[in-house]
Amino acid sequence: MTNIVLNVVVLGVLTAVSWPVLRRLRGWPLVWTALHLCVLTAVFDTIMIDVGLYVFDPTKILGVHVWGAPLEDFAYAIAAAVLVPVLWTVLGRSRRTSSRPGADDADGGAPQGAG
Amino acid sequence: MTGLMYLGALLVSLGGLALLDRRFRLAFWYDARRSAWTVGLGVVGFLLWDLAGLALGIFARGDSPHMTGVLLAPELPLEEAFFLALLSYVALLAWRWFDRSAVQREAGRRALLEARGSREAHDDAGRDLP
Repeated sequence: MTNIVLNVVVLGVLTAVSWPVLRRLRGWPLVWTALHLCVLTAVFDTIMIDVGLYVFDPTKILGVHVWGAPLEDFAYAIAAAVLVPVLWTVLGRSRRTSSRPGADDADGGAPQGAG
Repeated sequence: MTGLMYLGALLVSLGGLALLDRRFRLAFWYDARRSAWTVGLGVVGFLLWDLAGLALGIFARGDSPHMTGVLLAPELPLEEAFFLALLSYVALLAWRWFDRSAVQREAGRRALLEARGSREAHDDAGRDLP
């Protein structure tokens, strides 16, 4: 299995499982987050590969690069922009996983006092 | 010393994010338990994805001298867990910031409309006077 197949499967399963929660979140903040993470990926993935932190099997990637980052690696950025907001939203419902469950419903997550 | 460079860079970056988090009360300084679960589960999920990629032979550990050499699993360096924590944490902070800004903009727009509405009602009431 090549990297693009694995990543499309992972993103597909993640989106399908997250959908009931994801569709209720505001769209633009999600898109904006994904876009910023993709820019960070283009910069830092390029550096990480350049210094040899990890290597790809050239026969298992498409070979399409954005600067020095393989196209497939942007799947991690997009997955983070889906998974993290969905986890945060779901985990905010229970007292076991949140110290102020239900707080977002009232204030949209705004801080309670001045920082 | 060289072997600590990548881990050190990741820790410094995580520290920088924590400063932003504290300043704007976005995640751990808003709800620590929920942030820990979110980032923790994010790391576990991404590690499983990494293990799938390693098992399929898509990528492997490089020969960089900037890593400690400590492995969590064959070909999976300790540093990867910190990198994935950084990815999850930056995603959480960015989304919390953008989402909160959207909520505040909506509230501002509503307040403006309400203020305009009540002023027009006031003006209308004035015109009706004899």
